[in-house]
Amino acid sequence: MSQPLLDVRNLTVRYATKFREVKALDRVNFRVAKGEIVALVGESACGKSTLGLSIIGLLPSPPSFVDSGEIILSGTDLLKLRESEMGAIRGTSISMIFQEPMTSLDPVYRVGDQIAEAIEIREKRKPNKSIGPYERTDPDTKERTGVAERMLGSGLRRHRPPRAYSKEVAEALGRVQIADPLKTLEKYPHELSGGMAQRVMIAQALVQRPTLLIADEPTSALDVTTQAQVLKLMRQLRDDIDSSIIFITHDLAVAAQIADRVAVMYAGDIVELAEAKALFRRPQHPYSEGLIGSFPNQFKDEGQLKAIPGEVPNLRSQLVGCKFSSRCGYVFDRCKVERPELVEAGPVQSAACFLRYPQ
Amino acid sequence: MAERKFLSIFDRQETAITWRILRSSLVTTAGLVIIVGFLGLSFVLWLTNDSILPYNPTAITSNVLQAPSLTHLLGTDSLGRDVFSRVLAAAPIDARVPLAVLSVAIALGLVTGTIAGYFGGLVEEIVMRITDIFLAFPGIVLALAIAAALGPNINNSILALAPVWWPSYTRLVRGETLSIKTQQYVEASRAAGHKSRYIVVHHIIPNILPVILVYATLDFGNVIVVFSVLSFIGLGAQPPASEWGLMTVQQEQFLTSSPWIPLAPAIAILLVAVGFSLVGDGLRDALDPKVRSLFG
Repeated sequence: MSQPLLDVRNLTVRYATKFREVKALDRVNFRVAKGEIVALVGESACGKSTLGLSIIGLLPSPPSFVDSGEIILSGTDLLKLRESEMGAIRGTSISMIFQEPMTSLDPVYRVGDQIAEAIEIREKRKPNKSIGPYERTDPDTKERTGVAERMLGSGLRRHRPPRAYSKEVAEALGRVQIADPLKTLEKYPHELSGGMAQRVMIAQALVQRPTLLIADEPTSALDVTTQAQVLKLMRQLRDDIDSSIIFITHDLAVAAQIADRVAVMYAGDIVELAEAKALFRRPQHPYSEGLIGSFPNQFKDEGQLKAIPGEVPNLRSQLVGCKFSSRCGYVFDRCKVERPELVEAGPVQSAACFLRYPQ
Repeated sequence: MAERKFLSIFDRQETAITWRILRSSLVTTAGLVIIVGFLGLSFVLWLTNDSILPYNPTAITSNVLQAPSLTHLLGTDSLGRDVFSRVLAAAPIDARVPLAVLSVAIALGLVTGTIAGYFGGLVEEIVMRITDIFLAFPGIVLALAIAAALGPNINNSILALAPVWWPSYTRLVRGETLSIKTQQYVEASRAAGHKSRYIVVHHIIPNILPVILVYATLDFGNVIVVFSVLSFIGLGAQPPASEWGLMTVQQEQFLTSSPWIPLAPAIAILLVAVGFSLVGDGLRDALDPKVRSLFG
């Protein structure tokens, strides 16, 4: 990795209320290269979403705040930007897709309008940069809309004047495999199924052409068939517009399918960061091993799934040593007093564990 | 070619759909007819200065307490004034006061309610405590006090009623805003880099508009009733001017002997209030995406 697109360094995020304080992220380090898909996996409340939200600057604050660290996107530290500057980055350089596709679309607007809005943001913010595979559509000139009108032709009802950007909107819907884009763009969100709605969200991200897309459990609300289609689309999106994608999921199978690299998170730490294949073949960290062992897998023939014993430690209590030590089968004395750092053990895999990397 | 305003529910093609939905319902159409008739009549009377009425609505004659007939369609009152002319003559006032009061209440309610609900914190605390102060007074007493201080006339009644009316709208809007701002599309909009003002105008307000509309149209009759109380005490419309609430209240002793005198203005209030609530219901349906999608 020469020059990473995103470089998160020593990021610590706290959730603080009057009565208690929790370290949601504890000195997290990771990088995302251009065009790379990195999956963040882990149990609920391990800090996956917190990490995603802090990158896009949408941590609910209060109660949460970034304690220390840097989030560097193409050379700029996002944490040093003013809110207005951050606003300009959202929706152009960084986009986000959320878990519940049905509630991510505003019910009172037609689908086409909501995608057109994303195009409008893009066009407003970078007036002269027309990159990517699309022809620019300009809403102001009669000629352009004339062309769009002819292209769309019978798809729109006659009493409707052609809508600006509708050509590009229809194109985007077509690219996410929506069967009848011209009809769909006139629909309201309640007329879509969950899978269609999520594809609309992806179409929205597609037209924004972000350099970094954060997808927070985008397939968790979908059934398995739709999930597979959406995953394929997201890979395609990466290939088309060369976006990097941070894919947050609790589903190891999904991570295995989509990611180039996987970051396994546990209790606010990244405990293992590895190329997807390497991770699933030879998990280095005992937690990754346990996580993979507890997941049904077609390549495994053991009859019983193994659960990781114990519970996630309470992040409120002052934790000393390795956070996984209380549940780890290989635990030894050093684990209980010293915190292991994420050690790069080669180009493809690194883990924060004294067992594998006695440092 | 009309330029399309993004995320608008008020552009030409969307308005055309709204219109078709409204007209497709018989009840809503009836409400529309009542309201258009009422507002049209008010406007014409205001333009012509009452000269198109069959009788001078304030002229006192010796033909007192006559029953409805062809010469006096709704009879005459205890001072010999033509009730029909008086009912019609009251239309401009009874259009102006509720419309003005509700417009102020909705506008203030939308601005303060969304700000309080969306931003929360200290801003919310300040706005909501101010509404509490207004709500702490019994509404009618507050209105009376303001009207008495400003002097009795119709514009002052509007100024007296508006402060009583807006706090409930603020509370309503704030409550709705609180629930809508937790929706994921609001967060998605922030993730798309939109500013708070854009989100409030384009996502929050369109989603609470149906609730406000219905509430306001049901409220229309209430404003007339409270306004008539002001008039009755002598702080609203001044006799001999005619105003529906005042006419009903002042002439209620004739309810058994000459029922047309108090009933005619009362039915006028009823008709207009029903008209507005029918249109309000119709508008709510017309703004509902689930209905809109059936109409194209």
